[in-house]
Amino acid sequence: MRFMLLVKARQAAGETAKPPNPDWLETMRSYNDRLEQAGVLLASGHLHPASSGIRIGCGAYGDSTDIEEGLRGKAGADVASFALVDVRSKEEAIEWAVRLPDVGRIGVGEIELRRVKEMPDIF
Amino acid sequence: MTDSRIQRTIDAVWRMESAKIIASLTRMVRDVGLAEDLAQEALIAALERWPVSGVPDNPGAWLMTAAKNRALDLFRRNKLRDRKYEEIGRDLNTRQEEDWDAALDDNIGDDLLRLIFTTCHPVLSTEARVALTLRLLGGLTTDEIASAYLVPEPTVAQRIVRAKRTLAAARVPFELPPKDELAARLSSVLEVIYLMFNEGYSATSGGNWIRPMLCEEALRLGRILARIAPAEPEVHGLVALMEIQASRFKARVGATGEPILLMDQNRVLWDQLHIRRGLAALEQAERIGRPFGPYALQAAIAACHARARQASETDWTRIAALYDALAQVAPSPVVELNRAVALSMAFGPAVGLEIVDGLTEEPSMKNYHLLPSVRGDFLMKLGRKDEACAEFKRAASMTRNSREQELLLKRAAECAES
Repeated sequence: MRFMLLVKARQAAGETAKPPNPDWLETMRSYNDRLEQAGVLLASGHLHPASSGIRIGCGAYGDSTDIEEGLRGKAGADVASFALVDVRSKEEAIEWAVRLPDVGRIGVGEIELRRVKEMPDIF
Repeated sequence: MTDSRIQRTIDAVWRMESAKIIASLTRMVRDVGLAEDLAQEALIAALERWPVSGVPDNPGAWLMTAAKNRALDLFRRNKLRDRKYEEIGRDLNTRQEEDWDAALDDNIGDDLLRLIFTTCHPVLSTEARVALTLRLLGGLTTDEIASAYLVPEPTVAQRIVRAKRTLAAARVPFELPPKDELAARLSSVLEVIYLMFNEGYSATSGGNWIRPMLCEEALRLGRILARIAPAEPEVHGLVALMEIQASRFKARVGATGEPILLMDQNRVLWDQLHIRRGLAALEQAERIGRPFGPYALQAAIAACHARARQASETDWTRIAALYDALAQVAPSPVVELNRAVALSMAFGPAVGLEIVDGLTEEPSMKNYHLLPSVRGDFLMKLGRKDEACAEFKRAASMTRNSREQELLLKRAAECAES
């Protein structure tokens, strides 16, 4: 089963007081490496700061589309990175999330796990 | 945490860590059976301790240390009895604690590779290789393996016990195969993984939930292998083949469980993430720059289908060329039959018929209903209706699948009518 592991920053993504130091990047790299070595990682990435995010609001019946740049303070603005993992159970997903290294250093507030629908659950 | 949640967590941790622990222990104690026993004892200790103390921060290291301490106890007890044990015991004693963490990280790739070469060793029967690999590398229980293979649990348990004994009796060293054996040994590993995958894949939907799990285990093992043996094009080829086949997992059976042929599948149901990963693995195989083996060629064929958004967009010329290559590197009557179909799609039924006619004398094809079925199809397309009708009837009499039989008789009737 697939889970989306969303890493949420305490502050807005990428806008922490301290820039991530090389140690931290190395730690993250080795974490992803472990996921990959275990045959678990399907995709992963870090997001640019929410201030450069774009929100597209869709009005009723698609008659109005409102585009706004900058997501500071908006819902979802705290997502800093994601990993899509292929695991055997919910518990394994939790176990991997718990092992996310030294989350305090980028001011991570929480990790959210969401199970990803697979064909044909969608229909 | 409730007891049942702790149980499930321990189960998850075991699945994640057991292969690494067994691989590291085997390097140290030089016996895969003993290594597994020690790891199992560590698991039992965890099952006793963790519900009380909670799951430790680094559960893998905890299990490893527990197993190592048991190994040390054992060697202390046996020290006077056996010089070899004494030697290993000394070796274990001199290692520093942190070495174990480091060992888990640094050498783990090599140890896992050694372990998979051991569990897939040619000295074992195919069934034993599959069972031992699922047990030691997948962390599955004998019960789970038994349900996946629809055999009684004691059969699997026996198979595993005997396999471990065989490995010990044959003094199979815990080493990577020497260069001159590497190709043959690797192909044994790939065969085991692909057998596992196909066992799960050929299971019909519903009913037995555990069988598709075999596909997931095989895919996972393939991905791990691609990481620890990245220089082998066939490893990436096998991963690509499994990923692309897995992309069709949900599209290949209908609502009532009937199989749906590739050309008739609803391609919207194909899993695009699997396809992308499959194509990426195939590129990886290409980049190594060595000629494709059977897995990479089959993956390249599967990729042609995966790239076609509609069945009518299929690049049959390329598929025909790939089958020509496959027939060269891995000739077999079944490949030949598939090649005939590909060539007929690319260049017309007459070309296909010529190949199929060469197969009619093949002893292994004597009871293979797809041969007359395919031949009937070519004949029908060529307007030779009477002959086609006879071939469809013959094919119908050879298959035991009633649904297939029905379909073949319908085609025979259509030929007779026109």
